[in-house]
Amino acid sequence: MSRNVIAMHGVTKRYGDVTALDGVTFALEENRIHGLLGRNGAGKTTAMQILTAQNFATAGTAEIFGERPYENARVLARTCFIRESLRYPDNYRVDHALRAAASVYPHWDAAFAEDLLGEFGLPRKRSCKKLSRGQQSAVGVVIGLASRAPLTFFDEPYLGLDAVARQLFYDRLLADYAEHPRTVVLSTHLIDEVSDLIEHVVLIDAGRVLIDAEAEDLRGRAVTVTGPVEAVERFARGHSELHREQLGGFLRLTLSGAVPSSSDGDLRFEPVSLQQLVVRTTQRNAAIRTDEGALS
Amino acid sequence: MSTSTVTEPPEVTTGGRIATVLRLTGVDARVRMSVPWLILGAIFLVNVAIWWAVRASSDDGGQGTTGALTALFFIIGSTYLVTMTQTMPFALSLGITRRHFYAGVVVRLAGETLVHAVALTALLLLERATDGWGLRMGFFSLGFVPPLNPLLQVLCFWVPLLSIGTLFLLFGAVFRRWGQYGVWALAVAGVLAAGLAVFWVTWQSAWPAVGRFFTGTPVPVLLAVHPLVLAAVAVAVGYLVVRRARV
Repeated sequence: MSRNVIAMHGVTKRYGDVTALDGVTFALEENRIHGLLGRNGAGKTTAMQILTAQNFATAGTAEIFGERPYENARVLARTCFIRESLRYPDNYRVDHALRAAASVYPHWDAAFAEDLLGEFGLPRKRSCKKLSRGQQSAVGVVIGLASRAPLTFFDEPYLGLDAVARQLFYDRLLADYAEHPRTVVLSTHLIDEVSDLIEHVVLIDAGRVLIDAEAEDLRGRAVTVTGPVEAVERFARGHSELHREQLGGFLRLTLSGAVPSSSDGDLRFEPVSLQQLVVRTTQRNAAIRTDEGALS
Repeated sequence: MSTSTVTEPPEVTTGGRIATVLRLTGVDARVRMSVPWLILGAIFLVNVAIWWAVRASSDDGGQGTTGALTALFFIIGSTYLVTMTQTMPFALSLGITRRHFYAGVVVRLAGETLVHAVALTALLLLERATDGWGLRMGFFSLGFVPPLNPLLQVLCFWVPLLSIGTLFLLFGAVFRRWGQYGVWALAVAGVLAAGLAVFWVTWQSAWPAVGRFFTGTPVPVLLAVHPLVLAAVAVAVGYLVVRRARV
């Protein structure tokens, strides 16, 4: 039976006038790969910081493994949080960072770390200060994977990594996850790249949860329909419109919850990728917020 | 498919987590502990050269103290600032709690400064045995400290090193909690407190009493007891500050 490893109940975080998280509620199941998606500044990092007690909620509660994380070694000892902004002490070499992580995690896999080091081409004696942005990210990826922490957060861990290195990360994550199931929370805006990897999606925008659903369900949730304006409008009736593009007499709509129809030969249907769905949902939310702002 | 890597939560004890922090902060211990000695070594060589030249040109025969050792105390102390400003965010990312990290760093500070104190005592004894490195140069002795038995001498090196280290930890804790502005505020508050103390002593015409305190208190008490109180206060305040630090 699955159980929730993460639970946020109405978590709000304010920095002065800025509301980073606004009544966020979601739960993440054990031993799955979850995608925490959203634009830069949407509140993804803040949510993960609150879950690991690196930051404090203004209101609401956050739990991991069923307990409050603040100064709670019993649950924090089972986490690893690879942040995009993770820096290593100035006097650390790459092997210092790995040895430090190895000293913390009881299930650290030194051989795996060694393999990854080679695959990412990381010089183990190089000072962490002298690493390129991509190499710094790679050190984080190695630590996050080899730690085998039961709850691992990757917060945009790929900064500066090229496409090949990113693919290497996804491949190794998936392979290791299959052998050693654990809960992984992957925050990213490179949605297309991870859409096959993530099993569950939480989309945050402007501090609010817009989507909290199975990735599989989302893939069939929206459809793009193109055709003559009238035919498309007719088809779109009763469906929620996510996006609209019009060129002359042709209209292209992205619709939520619509099922392609074969009866109208003038219409062309295309599936909507997870990335498109996320982009369109976020854009629609931004438009709604603008409208709300204008009304208030 | 194999079973989950970790089904049972690991046994977590305070001692176990502090031991973890000791291991974590141990990975760069060699660098942290050797750099101050490399600097001191360079200062020592320069001093030896200068004293040799002084002795060669005009040998007045008197014993002298360089005073360079004081720098070592602050160089060593400052290395612990980095553990708070740089190692702590990394450690928290690896699931270490603030209190365990802080406790582990304090224990490591105590252990490493004890090693430094023993080394300094050994060099001081060597200096005395070689009549000041053959140059009647007092490099490892502090001018106002009379010869003490080795154990007491270790304490008189260790406690001041420990106290300065804990003050740097306190500054690091303030930085972690309130950032650069917090550190400036603490520095300004320190200057104001010192100014206020001077004002009060002057106003009360209490300088002779202050003088009597320093001359009347045995040196080992001045070096190994009073700073220990300061260290205890710094550790306690640092803990209260670091409990709500964000990283």
